[in-house]
Amino acid sequence: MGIKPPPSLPIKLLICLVGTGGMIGQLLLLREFFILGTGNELVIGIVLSNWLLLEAVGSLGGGFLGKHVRRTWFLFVLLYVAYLLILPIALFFSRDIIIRLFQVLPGEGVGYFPLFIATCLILLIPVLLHGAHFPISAQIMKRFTPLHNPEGSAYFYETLGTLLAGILFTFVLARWDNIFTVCLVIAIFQLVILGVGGYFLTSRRSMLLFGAAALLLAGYAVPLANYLHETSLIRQWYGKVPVHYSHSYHGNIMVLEEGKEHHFYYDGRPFLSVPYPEIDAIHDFVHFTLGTHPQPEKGLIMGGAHGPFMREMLQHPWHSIIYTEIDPALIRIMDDYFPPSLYEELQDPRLERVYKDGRLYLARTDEQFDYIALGFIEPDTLQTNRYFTHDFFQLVKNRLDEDGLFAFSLPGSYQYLPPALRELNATIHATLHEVFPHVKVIPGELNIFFASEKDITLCADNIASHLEDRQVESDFIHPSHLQFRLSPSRKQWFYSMIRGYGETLNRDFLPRGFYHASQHWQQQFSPTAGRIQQRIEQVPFLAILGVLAGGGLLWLWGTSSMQKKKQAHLPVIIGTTGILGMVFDLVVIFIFQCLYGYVYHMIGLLMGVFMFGAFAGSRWSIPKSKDYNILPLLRKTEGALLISLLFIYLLAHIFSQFMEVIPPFLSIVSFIALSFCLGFLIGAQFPLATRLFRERGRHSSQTAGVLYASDLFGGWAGGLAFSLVFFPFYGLGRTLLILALIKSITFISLLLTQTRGKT
Amino acid sequence: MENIPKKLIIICLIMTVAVVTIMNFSVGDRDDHISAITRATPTADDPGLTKEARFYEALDDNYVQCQLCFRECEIADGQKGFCGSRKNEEGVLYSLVYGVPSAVHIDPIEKEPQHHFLPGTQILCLGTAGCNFRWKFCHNWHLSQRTLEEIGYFHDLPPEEVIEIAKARNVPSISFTYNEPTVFYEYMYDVAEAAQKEDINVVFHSNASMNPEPLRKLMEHVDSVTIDLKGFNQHYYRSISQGDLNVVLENLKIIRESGAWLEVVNLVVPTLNDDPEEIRQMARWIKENLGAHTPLHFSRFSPSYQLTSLSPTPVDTLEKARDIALEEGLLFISIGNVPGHTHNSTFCPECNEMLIDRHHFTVRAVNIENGSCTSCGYDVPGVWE
Repeated sequence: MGIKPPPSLPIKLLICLVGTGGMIGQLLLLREFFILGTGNELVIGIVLSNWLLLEAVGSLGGGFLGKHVRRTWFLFVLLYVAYLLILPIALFFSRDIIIRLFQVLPGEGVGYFPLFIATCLILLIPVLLHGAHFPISAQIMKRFTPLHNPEGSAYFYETLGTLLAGILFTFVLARWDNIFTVCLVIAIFQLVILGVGGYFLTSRRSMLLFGAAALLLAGYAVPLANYLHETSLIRQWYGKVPVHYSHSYHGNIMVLEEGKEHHFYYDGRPFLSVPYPEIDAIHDFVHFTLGTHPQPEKGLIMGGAHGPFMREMLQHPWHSIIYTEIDPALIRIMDDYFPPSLYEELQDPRLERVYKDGRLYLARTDEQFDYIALGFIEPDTLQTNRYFTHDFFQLVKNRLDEDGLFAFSLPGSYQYLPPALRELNATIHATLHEVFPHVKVIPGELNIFFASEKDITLCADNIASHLEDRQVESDFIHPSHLQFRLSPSRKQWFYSMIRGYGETLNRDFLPRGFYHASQHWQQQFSPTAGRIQQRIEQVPFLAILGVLAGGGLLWLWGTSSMQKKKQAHLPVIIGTTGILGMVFDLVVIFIFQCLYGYVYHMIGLLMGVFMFGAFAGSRWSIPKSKDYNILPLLRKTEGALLISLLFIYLLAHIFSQFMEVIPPFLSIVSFIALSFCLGFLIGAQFPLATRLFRERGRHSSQTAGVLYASDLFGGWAGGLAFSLVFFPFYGLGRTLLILALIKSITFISLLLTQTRGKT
Repeated sequence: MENIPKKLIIICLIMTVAVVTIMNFSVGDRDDHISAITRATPTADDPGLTKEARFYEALDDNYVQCQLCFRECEIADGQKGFCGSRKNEEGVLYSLVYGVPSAVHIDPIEKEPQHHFLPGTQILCLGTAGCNFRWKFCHNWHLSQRTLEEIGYFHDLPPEEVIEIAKARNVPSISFTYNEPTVFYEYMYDVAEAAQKEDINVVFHSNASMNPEPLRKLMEHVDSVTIDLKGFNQHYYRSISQGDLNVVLENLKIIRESGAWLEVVNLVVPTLNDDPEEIRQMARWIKENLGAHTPLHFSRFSPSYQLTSLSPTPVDTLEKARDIALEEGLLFISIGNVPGHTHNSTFCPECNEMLIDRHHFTVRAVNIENGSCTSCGYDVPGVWE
């Protein structure tokens, strides 16, 4: 009575910052695990799925605490501070958790299982703390504001914070090289706001002092961030200090210095050492492919070819060579660490560096080339796989002269090709052959692929003669070496090895090349996991559809016969929406990566917009859920989800086919719109289902619990299955088809459900 | 049911059918492009229990103890040994890889590496599945760290056919390499015995972990050996490969005593075995026990198998290792896996002239005549003709 309520702005701002902190933390940890997983995008699925699950558990824990702890403001502050303190610690240990936990050797890689365990452990405390915030925020909102829907408001402001974090991260923070600077700057900002906001809310001067103390800490933030950054990198890189560490649009670039040598790493994996690279592989590739070409004059080289590779290229009498990279930032950074002599040689006027993604360049250029080659890249990430797809090969063909030559290499062996490598080589061979009538291979540690519209003659004399005419100096191209590499028996052995493999072509949205490369990686670390993967592969796709359809029909029959428990199908509907929710989030990320290759930079924005879309959908449906008859509305959202699957498929292919004409700005806007729309549909369904469930007699808390659990479990399982199995193996089309089948069944179940009053 | 929006149902069903049709149409399985590719001769059928093993002892309860290598695995009925290539079937130990090599190729002998044994010639190389060590940087892990079942690929190649191939292809030497030949001892032994009768040289590349008796017996038919001495630290051997340095050192002495040509390879892995003091101790031990003329190859590590994120060995480290070995009095020290490096070639310890001009696996010139340096007449140890 008579006491003026505190202003609501501070609490709104604080809750908004809870969302911001959560999203920033998620993105920073995601990137660290991405590097630990050496750039394999499937790690994104593992991290997001585990994050979702832990956030949910945290939320349940927060709800419990909120009921039993009376000092909610204190609890809010405690969680707020605890999260901000624990995040840098989690980031610090994320860099070497694999080394400590699994006792791996310096530089030892790991498979999916250790990564899964490591993500669970690192995410555990920060995500539980962050998840616990939501119910406490709702209580705080209720306490400090007169709003009649505090949960909804808390949700709104937290999601708004998430969106703002996505934007802030993408346009500002993503390029900050030191993740601890990002983390501490955000933390100090949040603590200051907490102090000031807390003062306005509680009128306690101690809060102001708290804010002032946080502000004073700002002076120590940069040195502390530098210390944490350097120390954690030393722990991660077995005592070595990187001389360069940065985040580009496409990935993480690191340079280690040892004596006179520099080792270049991309997304945690070494790819080049100067001045002693894998020079034999470079000589073989460059001089075999160019020696096969009668007169290369205009060339295009894309990816993994900077430095010694390009120096060898320049020995040939070109008129011009255009060089692009998968990550254009690499070119500039590597230049800084090349020995002066090499750097000078690369200043050749015939060499034009184009600081653009190679595929995008190829799609948009009008130039024609008589030689196009990929440097030393493999399709072991979605980012690089897009250089080995049918769609890409078609682009190459369009830009290659009729008698031009296209060349690239894939991992091989002089001794034996394990099944995954046979699949990889056979798949790419078949894909290439689909586009080019003539394909040849020189097998070895690196299998060198040649493709042309005209017949290709791989002949030792021919190569030697061309190299001699061009006065190319190479200690490697010796008659005995040519004989060894071009041996007919080795060629026959290679073809016998890949025969019967590679039944499906590698396409942008059916990344079989990536799948087999990941499979090979997986088999290095866990033969058991590799065998499980092989078993999964052997299951016919139609059998999966049949089992799902059969199971769905049985379920439909079962639920329709349960006249008194019709609401029993709602958890399943929500569970499948949970699957779709996570899959949609990942689908947008993966499609973007398959097409443009810089999701490393854009992921914050895509995720933030998706979550905001989910929020907007729920805000749209909450008022409608109060209507008497919500079943038709639920059916509409279910139908819309079904249609959206087709929409995703069509949109992805439109972008793939018309990459050369769609302006970059429009692509980004379209993906943002897609994220928003998909999030909207997912978000719209939950309140409607909750309402229907409650309407059918279930107690409110039970309603929320059952549906929430279904939603989360669906999201977690769907995220993992989609990332690790469905998308890489079945590709976009078949994955969406599986989802379409599942959603069709739940849609039919909704159609069969009678509206209230008619039972 | 009259409340159901009929139009919506129809639209959704049509869309679903469209999704199904378009997606199935677009996935498109591959045409038969591979049809033109040469057929493989090997098959992936299980070869079964291929040959009774040698060097084992029957124990109680159908257990057996394999006595081929230092591990001396006690193997229960139906189980395999540590190497995955020897199986106890009702109290009898079988080799699972006899006559079924998974890799058969003709390589330059420099690839072993063998620098003082018929330089510039070719070798017929055979490798099967399995290994009795567990190095995490094994270059041939596809073969060595897998069983034959896991590999699922082999050639049906009995010893007499191996000899036929070598003769037909005019290859002067047969080499057992790629994976650890100890695990296919019986096959190696039979081929070696047959090769010796046909005047074909026998070479093998091993981790030197056999028991003395089988090793001595084998050495009766062997002309040259390359041994991986991965480091000079028992802890390193035990913790990283589950091996035993002492066994390796004893076997090196046995090989030296046998009279066969011997070369030693040390793969220098950054942070794991690049301690200069250990390299010095190793060089000293080699000189004292195997002789100063034993060729020692310091090989450069490059990311392989499970060590995918470890950067390659700095060449500076290899050069320092070579300097240390020279200081300790070894005469023939080369640097491997650094194509183009000067010390990939062999130099005369007397006059410092180049004896063998080698570039990676290619021999460009041999300045040795009748076993002597053409420049100063120094007798170069090795097998040259």
